[in-house]
Amino acid sequence: MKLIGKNITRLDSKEKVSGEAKFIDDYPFNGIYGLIIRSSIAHGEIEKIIFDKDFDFSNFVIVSHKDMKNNINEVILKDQPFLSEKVVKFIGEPILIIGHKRKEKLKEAKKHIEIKYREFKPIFSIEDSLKADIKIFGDDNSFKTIISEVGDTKRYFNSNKYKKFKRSYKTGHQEHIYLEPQGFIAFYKDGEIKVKGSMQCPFYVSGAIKSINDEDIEVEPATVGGGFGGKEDYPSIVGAYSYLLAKKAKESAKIIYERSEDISYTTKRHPSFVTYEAVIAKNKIKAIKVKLLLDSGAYASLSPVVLERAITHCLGFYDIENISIEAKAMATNTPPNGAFRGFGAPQVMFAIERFMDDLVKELNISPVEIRKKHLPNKKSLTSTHALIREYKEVQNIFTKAIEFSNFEKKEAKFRVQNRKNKSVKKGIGISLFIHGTGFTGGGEAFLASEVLIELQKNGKVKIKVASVEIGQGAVTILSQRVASVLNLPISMIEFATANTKYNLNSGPTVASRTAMVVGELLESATVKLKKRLVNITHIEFKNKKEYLKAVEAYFKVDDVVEFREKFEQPKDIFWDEENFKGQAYLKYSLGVNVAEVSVDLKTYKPKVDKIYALFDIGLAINPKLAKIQTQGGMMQALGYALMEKIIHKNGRVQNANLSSYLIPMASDVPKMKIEFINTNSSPKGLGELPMNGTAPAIANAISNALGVEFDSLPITPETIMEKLNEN
Amino acid sequence: MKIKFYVNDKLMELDVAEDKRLIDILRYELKLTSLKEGCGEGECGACTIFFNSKLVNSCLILATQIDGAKIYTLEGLAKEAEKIKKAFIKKEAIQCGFCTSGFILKTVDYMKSNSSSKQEDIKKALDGNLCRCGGYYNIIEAIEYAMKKLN
Amino acid sequence: MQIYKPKKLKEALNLYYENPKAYLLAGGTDIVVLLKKIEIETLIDINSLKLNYIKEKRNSLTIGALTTISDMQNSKIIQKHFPILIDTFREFGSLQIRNMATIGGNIANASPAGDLIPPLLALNASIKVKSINGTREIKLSKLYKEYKKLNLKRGEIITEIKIPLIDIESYYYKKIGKRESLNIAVASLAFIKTKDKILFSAGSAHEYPKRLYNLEKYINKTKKIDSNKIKKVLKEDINPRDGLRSTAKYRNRVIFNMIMESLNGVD
Repeated sequence: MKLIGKNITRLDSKEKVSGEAKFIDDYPFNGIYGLIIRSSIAHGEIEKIIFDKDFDFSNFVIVSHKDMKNNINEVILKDQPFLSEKVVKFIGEPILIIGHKRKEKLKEAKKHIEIKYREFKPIFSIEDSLKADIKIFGDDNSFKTIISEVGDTKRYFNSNKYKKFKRSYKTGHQEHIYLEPQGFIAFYKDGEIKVKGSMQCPFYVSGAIKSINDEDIEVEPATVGGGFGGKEDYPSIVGAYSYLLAKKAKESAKIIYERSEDISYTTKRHPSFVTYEAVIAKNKIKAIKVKLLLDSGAYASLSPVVLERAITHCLGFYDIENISIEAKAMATNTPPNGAFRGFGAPQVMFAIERFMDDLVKELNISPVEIRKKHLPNKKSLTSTHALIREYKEVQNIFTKAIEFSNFEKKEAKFRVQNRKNKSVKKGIGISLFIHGTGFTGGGEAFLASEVLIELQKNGKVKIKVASVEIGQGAVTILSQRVASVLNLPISMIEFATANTKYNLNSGPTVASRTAMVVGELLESATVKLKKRLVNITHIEFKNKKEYLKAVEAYFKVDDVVEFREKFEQPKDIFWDEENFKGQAYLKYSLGVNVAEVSVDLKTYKPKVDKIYALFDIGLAINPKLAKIQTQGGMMQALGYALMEKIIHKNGRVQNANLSSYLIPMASDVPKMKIEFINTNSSPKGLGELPMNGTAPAIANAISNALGVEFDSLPITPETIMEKLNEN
Repeated sequence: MKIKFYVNDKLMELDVAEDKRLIDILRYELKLTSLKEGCGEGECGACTIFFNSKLVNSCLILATQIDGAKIYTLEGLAKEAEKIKKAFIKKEAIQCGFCTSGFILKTVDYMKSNSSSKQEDIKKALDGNLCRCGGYYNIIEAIEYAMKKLN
Repeated sequence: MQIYKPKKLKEALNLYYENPKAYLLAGGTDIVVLLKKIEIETLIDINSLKLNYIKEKRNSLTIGALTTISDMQNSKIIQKHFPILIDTFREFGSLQIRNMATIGGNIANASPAGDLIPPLLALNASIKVKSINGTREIKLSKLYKEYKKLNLKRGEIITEIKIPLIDIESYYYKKIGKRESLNIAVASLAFIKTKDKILFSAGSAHEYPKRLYNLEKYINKTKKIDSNKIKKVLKEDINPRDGLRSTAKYRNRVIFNMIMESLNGVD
């Protein structure tokens, strides 16, 4: 029974269709509710916190920074306090946590806490942050600066012989809108605290809590209502608050965000400003300078590593010999930005794919030709000076996609149609994109992930890892990988909730790494189990019946039930962290999207009619779940392309609800034709890839339809009208 | 205030604050947690229930409005939703599961009042229920399947 | 917060007169959202009042203020007489919202983006209001004078909407938003042509909902439609805002475009 590559029905579907699956707010609860008191100014110092003398605070629990031994939430840098001690750097920065038995009392109490500030001038834009006359972080407001050089760009830029071409691209904040807002309960029983909540990375949460008072606290996810990266780094903060409140109150404590609070103060996708300047000869980029700026918000959070991924993806896999990149993650007085599906890649893939199509116009060649000219060969290098090992696959997927979508014929057809039709313009656009699986550079080696499986007396195998089911299908897919090694039906596999006390740390549920990295480790742990069973019992089992016989025989003579595996960096993966050079990822997944759009010239409204998508994720472990995952990613990217943008005014989010921050609905779904190719190779990352290519394909299609170039996201009817007016 | 109403055919008598939201009464007092709070403003559809046979967002109804009402949640629709649940499982129309109860109730209502299994009509009907994990396709396919194959 | 639930209209009128700052709770789709943002001292739940009806009279159609959008959408009478309203209902929120929201609530909320108001204005609708001092009927076009406010006297409750039964030769309704559906209108236009005149109203076009009188005057008089003249006249009629959902410039332009589209085929 080979389960890899099979459409096994989701293992968690029964409890979810019945409504029995328990999300954090569904647990029976008896304790206090928490509310976070936040800064109302964007930059300044707290002078005084005044509790109204006429208000009875005696039944409230109040947590401040004084209740912690260590008050730094270390993600990458040590800059962000759990609770502000004095300085506040964004509207919404947490200062106090108040708790009460009755939820409705909290909002009332909030009105009786007055915080006096000394205000400083705030910074709200990347441009102002670069000027650095106001300092939020260090001397230059940059959380991380990376300079990366491949080849020799100076030779080309100093010469007058060549054509030069420069363009800039801009993207805004995107919000995850996981349907379930952030939430945690710290259960208190007989002096012991157990923290449960909505999270992608239980070991991050337990680590953050441990850093506070050096206490080992058991952390476990409830059923998680979507994550998309938004529950990678942020839950460490909410989880810590629930712990602090429970510890001080000696009672269970619950903090569930309201949607407006979630949109206003949690992490977002980093806004970006990317500039390419290219030297071109014979329709080919000879050298390129890239300036890459991210708006990190007030604290570093994950920005340094988001910046790294932006660098590794900012030229796709195009064949460019001479590269010079300057990248900075800049501080502003807005809530810190963090992980979001794609992790820096969607911004730069939009930029590079738009740049390619801007070149199309400049050089008067076709979108297919310009990309063909730059397809990688066996000598091509990545932006971190490693060989593009997947060059053949890139050539292959691109060629296939052109045929699959009938791109060239359609482009010609639309051109003819557009001459006749004055009210609706049609366009087609293409994007070629990549996503590196797992952590960047030495990240996977640093994580040194470990997995554990347990052989049960009844023959069932229990998976005990840190991977969290967030809707992506982790439970099903990892179970398939284990079952496959033993030739067992899926019902023989059990998947333990990612509890930090009982499971091993197989790393965070992020970076499209679960199916590939954790999956491979689980396979080799299962191979160990299999070998031991065979060695001890001499039963070469081929099916469940024989397997069960072997298990029975095994337990008569042996009692080893735990099998582990630990990640080791493959020998052919070289990474030089200091110079930011080397093979940045274990593997890369590839994709091509072709989007067809119609733009109504009366309303300026773009509509995506159809998307063709080819993905190379190696072997899809569960093709059906994989397909659904790509559809979801593409819709999230469609939202990014056409409607999703957080609007700040003086550091305050203006559209903190779902009637003003719009995400796509069923009516917005275009026709989608999706296929996986290169399925004979081993599995690669999937989760983030579909987020990378859809927005640039749509943007290119709209540009193609209207004959004007769009350089920012989202492309709204308003921006379309403005652009058409300019031209 | 004292209120009497039916939930999933059971008579409930409660003493609650007049401004308590129906979603909170159902979830916290009656422990009917299939419905969820995704936005609290009637935009996401995760808290969808039947209220006097009409599909509504329970986050927009206050205690003062519910005396005498007949309410059904997913927990009380075992029979009506059975085929739909099967179709949702078969077509993998569930991912994180937070929106699922709302979509199933939407489908129960749609199949009761509508006979069109055209994709465009199903899509239009689904508006008002948000899903962020999937591309809605799987849900649309599940409804088509429930209508064509299971009916 | 104090909540009253009057059983009889008279009781409701007394309560509202005594508590002029009170909010009325009808379908709740706006009020319950508002409760999160502002503090409301008094709420009068009027759902016990028998104001859910659609009646066809000789010269008009009357609709009880508590009639939901869904009930109107399913009404054979409305389908027969006012297909423009059916188009409007189709674009009104989600099914869940349509099952709760009422015609009276949409009118009383006085939002410039209120979906029902432009077509009702173009249909020359009136409202019946009641208070302890009696009943009066006023034109919907006289109800709005400033942003999010009703031009009503103390204690007056909207109880009924009356739409004259006229022969509609053609109509046009369009609502624009960023999504394919469930949008708060970025802009909308309603147009009604009868034997002797054309009526216009636009949504999200002004501080408060209103008819486009200057445009109507021009269109109803002129022999040949001049688009530049329309642009000019329109400036006197509408004054949309730059806001979260859109820009004034965009709104101006698409309202103009919708007007041109609506006039297509009109001679």
